[in-house]
Amino acid sequence: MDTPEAVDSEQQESPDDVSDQQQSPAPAEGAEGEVIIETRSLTKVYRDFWGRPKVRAVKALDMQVRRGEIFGLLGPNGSGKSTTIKLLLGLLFPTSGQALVFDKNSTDVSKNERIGYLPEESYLYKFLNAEETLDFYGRLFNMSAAQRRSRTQQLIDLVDLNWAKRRQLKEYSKGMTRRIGLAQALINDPELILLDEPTTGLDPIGTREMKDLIIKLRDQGKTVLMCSHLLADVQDVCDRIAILHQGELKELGRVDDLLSVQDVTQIQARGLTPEAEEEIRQVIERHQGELVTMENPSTTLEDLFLKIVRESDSASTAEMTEK
Amino acid sequence: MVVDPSEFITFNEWFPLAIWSYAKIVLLLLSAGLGICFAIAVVRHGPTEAIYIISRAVTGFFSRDGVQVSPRRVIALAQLAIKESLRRRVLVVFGVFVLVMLFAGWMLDVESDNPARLYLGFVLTMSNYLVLALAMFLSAFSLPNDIKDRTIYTVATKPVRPLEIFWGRVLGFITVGTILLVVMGVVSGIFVHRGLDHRHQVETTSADFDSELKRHSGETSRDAHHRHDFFVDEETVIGGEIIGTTDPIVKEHRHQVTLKEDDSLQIGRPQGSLQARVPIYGKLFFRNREGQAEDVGLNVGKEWTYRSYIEGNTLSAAVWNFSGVDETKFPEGLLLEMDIRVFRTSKGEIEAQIPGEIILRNPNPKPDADPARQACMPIPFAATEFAASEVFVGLDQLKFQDVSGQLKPLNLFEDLVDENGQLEVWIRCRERAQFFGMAQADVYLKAQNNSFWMNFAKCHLGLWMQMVLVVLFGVFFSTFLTGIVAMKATLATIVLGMFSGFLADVHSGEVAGGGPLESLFRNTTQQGVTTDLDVSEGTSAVMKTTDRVYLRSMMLISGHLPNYPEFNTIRKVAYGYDISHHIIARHMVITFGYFLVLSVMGYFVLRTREFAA
Amino acid sequence: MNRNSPFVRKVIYISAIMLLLFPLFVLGQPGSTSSSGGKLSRLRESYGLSQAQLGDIDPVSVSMQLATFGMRGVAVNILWDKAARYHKTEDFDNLSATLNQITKLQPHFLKVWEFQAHNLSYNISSEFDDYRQRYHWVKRGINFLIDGTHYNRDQPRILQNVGNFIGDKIGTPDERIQFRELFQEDIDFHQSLSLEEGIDTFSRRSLGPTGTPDNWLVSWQWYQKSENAVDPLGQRALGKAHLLFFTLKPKTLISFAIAIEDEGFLDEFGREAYRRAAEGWNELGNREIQTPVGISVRMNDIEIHRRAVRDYRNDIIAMAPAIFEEIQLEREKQLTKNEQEAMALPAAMRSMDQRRQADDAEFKLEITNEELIERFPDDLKLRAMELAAEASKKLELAYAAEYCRGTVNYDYFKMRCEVEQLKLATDARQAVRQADEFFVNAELEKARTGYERAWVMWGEIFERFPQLMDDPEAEILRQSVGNYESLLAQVEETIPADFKLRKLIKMYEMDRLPEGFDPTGGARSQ
Repeated sequence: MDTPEAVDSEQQESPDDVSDQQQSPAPAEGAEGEVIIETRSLTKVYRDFWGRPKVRAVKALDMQVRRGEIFGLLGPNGSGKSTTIKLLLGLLFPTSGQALVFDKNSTDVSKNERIGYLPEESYLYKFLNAEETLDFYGRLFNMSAAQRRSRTQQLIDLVDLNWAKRRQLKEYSKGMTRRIGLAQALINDPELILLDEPTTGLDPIGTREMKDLIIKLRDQGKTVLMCSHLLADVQDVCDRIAILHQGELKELGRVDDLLSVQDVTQIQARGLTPEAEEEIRQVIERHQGELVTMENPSTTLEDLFLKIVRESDSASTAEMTEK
Repeated sequence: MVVDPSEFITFNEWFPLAIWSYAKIVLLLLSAGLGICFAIAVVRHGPTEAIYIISRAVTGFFSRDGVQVSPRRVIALAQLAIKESLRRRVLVVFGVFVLVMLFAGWMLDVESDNPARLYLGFVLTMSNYLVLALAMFLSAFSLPNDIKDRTIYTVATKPVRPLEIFWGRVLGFITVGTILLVVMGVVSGIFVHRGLDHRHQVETTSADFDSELKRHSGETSRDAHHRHDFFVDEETVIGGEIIGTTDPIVKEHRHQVTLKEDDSLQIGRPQGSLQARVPIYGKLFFRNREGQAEDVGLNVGKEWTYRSYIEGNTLSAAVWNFSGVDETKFPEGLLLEMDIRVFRTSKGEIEAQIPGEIILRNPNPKPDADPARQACMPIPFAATEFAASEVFVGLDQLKFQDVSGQLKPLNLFEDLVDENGQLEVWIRCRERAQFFGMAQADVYLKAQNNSFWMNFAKCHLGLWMQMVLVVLFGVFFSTFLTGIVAMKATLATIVLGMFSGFLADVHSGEVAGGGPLESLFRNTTQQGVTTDLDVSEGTSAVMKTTDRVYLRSMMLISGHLPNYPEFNTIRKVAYGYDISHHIIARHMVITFGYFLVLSVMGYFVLRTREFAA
Repeated sequence: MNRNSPFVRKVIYISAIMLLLFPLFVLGQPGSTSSSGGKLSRLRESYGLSQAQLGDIDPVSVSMQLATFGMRGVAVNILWDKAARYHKTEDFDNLSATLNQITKLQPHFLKVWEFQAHNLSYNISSEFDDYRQRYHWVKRGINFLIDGTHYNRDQPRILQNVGNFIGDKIGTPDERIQFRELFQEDIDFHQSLSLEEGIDTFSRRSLGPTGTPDNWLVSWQWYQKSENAVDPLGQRALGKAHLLFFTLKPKTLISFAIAIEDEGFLDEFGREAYRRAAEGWNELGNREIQTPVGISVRMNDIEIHRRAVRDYRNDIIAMAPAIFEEIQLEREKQLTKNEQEAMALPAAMRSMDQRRQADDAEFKLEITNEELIERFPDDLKLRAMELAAEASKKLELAYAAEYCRGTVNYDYFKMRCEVEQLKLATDARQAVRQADEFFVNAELEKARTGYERAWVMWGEIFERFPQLMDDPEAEILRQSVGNYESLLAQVEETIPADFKLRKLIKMYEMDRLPEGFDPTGGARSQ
């Protein structure tokens, strides 16, 4: 199969990326790399009070996340992303199938030693201040006082909340809460970080910083599983994505693979003279190619996403009409 | 003071029985729990998987979660619970307490004959209710709120064991309750002390000096709604001062009266209203009028059967068998305290008290002992009611009559106390057609007085244990119920625990009027509690059976819940009796027993609970 | 600044609240003994409005009622149950504490005060063996009731109850000698009654012969207080038993006189006591009392009414004497022969049968005003009917007065008070008393002469007031006459045939308790 080195869109100029690609080249599907998360036909059915199945939130999900990658779960609201993360964390129990984290059952508490979790909204104790919050979670990891002190300061610096560390969280803005939430997720220097909608409620700068941080974490060798319904986030930072819709896995693979259209080659260049352009045009013609466009490219993940959603919707409506 | 018969059982007698029934309950709970879980697992996952799941859960507890509890995590969670409690305005409870104390003077009967009892009963009961209410509210809402606010997500995704979540909460709320209880205890102590403290002056018009007896006597001024008579003998010199006393005891106390050098009399602070007597209880049985042994005496027609009566001037007697009587405890003689009730069938001499007599007797005399030396000559006393009156039997007071009819001295420890340290005390009524009434706790040997404040603290320990139990139940219920339901469940355990005695009485018919259905029917149709129900037999039978089933099940439940009144030792403190360490030990064991069971149950509930559901 | 602002705000709020509350405080400040209180309180006082009219407003009581959140009935029910349980288990301290709580919740419910006070004074006090403790609990019941009078100011019934407790509960039980003595010595109680309740315990009207306040006289003061309370409310407030209500006060003076004479004051003190009792009794006779049928009457007016009835009758007859005589003759003719014979004999000589016939005859001879007027000529009829109507009105009054007199045994007590003021009466009693003492001490000869001296005096009394013999007063002498008889039996004599008190012996032999007034008052209530 021909896999030309994709010319990635906007964000490729960051110098980190280069080093990252050198350190741990994004593993291809089915490629080498230790499996950190694995689900085996993972299914979750929500039941009503009488035990009758109500919602099938996740349907027979099979996926693997490997060490060192940023894995994105993508899907519209209610597609089962959050449920999957909660299943992986043991906050929910699978109806059938298995969720394994570090080769351990997701309900095993001891796996939490190596996990950091940033919930959808930062569910933190509002009556604590930043320091107390981090100290509290540090203690839950059985860290010594000295460790906790240094780690707390480190993280507060990292999320840049030093100026507000003595304030109760109820006085925090949404963005600050998010940051302290991230800090608590990192308190144990986790190997695996699960981020549930990491950029919701953040302003563009905050979003940018969050993304940078995620990539930085990956660069430090951590594995990141994040879910989002914001395509830009996923596209920007994820190495691989899984697209979920109505609890089913629709697509899984490397972001660039998923987005590359095999029979379409996109050319982008700067500073070409009209002559040069004409020359290229001719080259294409010479090879019996047809020039489609020669403009600034659009976000094609959106297209892909919408296509999947539409297909699956029409399939289900077809199913319904069949019935 | 009324003492429940169960209190006479020593810890050593109680413990084996308790452990046995505890083990039975634990086994029952265990098998029921496992059975139910297994059944659910079979339905969900099939039998093979079910066995695997159950065994994994059980081994998981013993290999990991049950043993690898990190104190640091528990303390962290406890501190969180404390902070949360403070945020939820625990101090309001303390405020209420202080407020109630401030206005307590309004509600308490200042003219009460036993102000110490009333004050102590009031403040301790108030502390009890407030602490229990606080424990209930704190413990029941905390975990459900965490789940509702989803703050539990960030905790449960840390390496926190379910047991740690449970214990963290429990420890936190107990700490809050403890601090509150200590502070309330100090405030109550000050309140009681100040409430009882008062001074008198000498009423000058009443002062009198008897030059023959060298005795000053008179009346004190009226303060705190009472006055005393007093006397000072010039010959009674204690510690270089001439000291007398007020007499008789008024409102549970006396004052020391000192004759100063300038011949003025000074009346001291009240003494004796706060005390902690250490009683040695004996085993009571009766002799009927023919002199035969019986378990209970006569009933003089009182509805309340706590006390039994003996008839005067017959062979009937009330006999207490005391053990552990030895010379080290009673070097100078026996100090008996008694509260004997009098029942007159004729008014008799109105101003005279009914005379009685005390006989000390050896329960198991040596076979070669002189029969005349097995019992002492009767020691007369006059019965006083509704107050413990002291009778001191000095060693040299014990006499027997030998063959010639002469009175000779007896040795208490050689002649009357048997080899096992047992001694019988017989009490008889001397007047014909009059009766003495008594219960086991009405006559006892008094070995010493313990510190009142120590006893006060011990009582708070009982309150503390009740608080711990409520917290345990509250946190346990909150592991699987929403806040308000958990609170109601906790309240139900308290109510059931408090009224288990009442339930039993309704069931047995001791409390007339029938169960809920029957009494509702009687109420609405205005039928008296003692009349036969005015309905067809069928309806009546249905009603009574339903009530019976209901009461039975309630009794079954309440029988396994902590019996809160048992932990309540307020009466002992109020009446001035030491709380025995047997009782405290028993309560501690019970509390610990609940702690274990509820911890394990809480663990399994949390373990099987989806926090995000 | 940011951090401080909530605090500053709170301070401002609190000060604002305080500021707003201040006028409320000034206006609504409850009155107390030292100050007349705020504006509202003064207004209430002057208009006699709201609860303040009923009695003291007790902040505890009000806040406790509020604290039950409208569940007062339930709370009270629980407390009553608790009280019953404490009573059963003889936990009297808690019982009395619970009673206080009940009355805090139901302060204006008179029956609660009355019932529980009775519980304390009568039921609980009798649980104790020591008479001093019994007295103590009797007093607690009284104090409880007095407390009730504060919450229910000017309620005659509860005030009267206090009098009743102080009088009868202390003065009539078996241990009355001890109780009365304890009461007399209870200076603290006297002081509190005098200072807090405005009862003049130290005035001459309250002091007994020993110079200390006497329970009967103090109870009289309370009855007086209850009578004073009647006036503003009108007799309506008394319900139906008006007569009984007003009788208690004079009766307590009689009880006082009996009590001190029992205790040996058979001298000027005793006679003075009866003088006062007679005054009181007379006052009762002059009081207009509403009978259950709704007529107001004075018992002393009975003679006036009867005379009026007679006068009207005579007036009617005088209008047409001929018609009257005519009817009389007609009637006489209707009598049977036997009846005529019976009527001819003097009353004392009639046989049993004749007596009945005479009754019948009298009935036949009776001419009512209506029968008489029927025969009147028309020009006289109207005037006669007017007179007859007046007469029947007066007759009704006379009947009402008679009914009242009968109910309270008015005539007997009137006479008794009169008799007992005589020196002869006290001397007679003194003589019997002395003789009884001799008898008890087995000094038979002295006893005999004593008794015989006493019988002479008693004979004289009974001669002058023969009705006394029929009345229970004789009961007191019964025991002494019995003593005398057994004394004579020891010297093998019998009571002489001319013994003036023979009737008493008959009563003694029949061993019948005379009905009616019990000299010990309400000892039965024990």
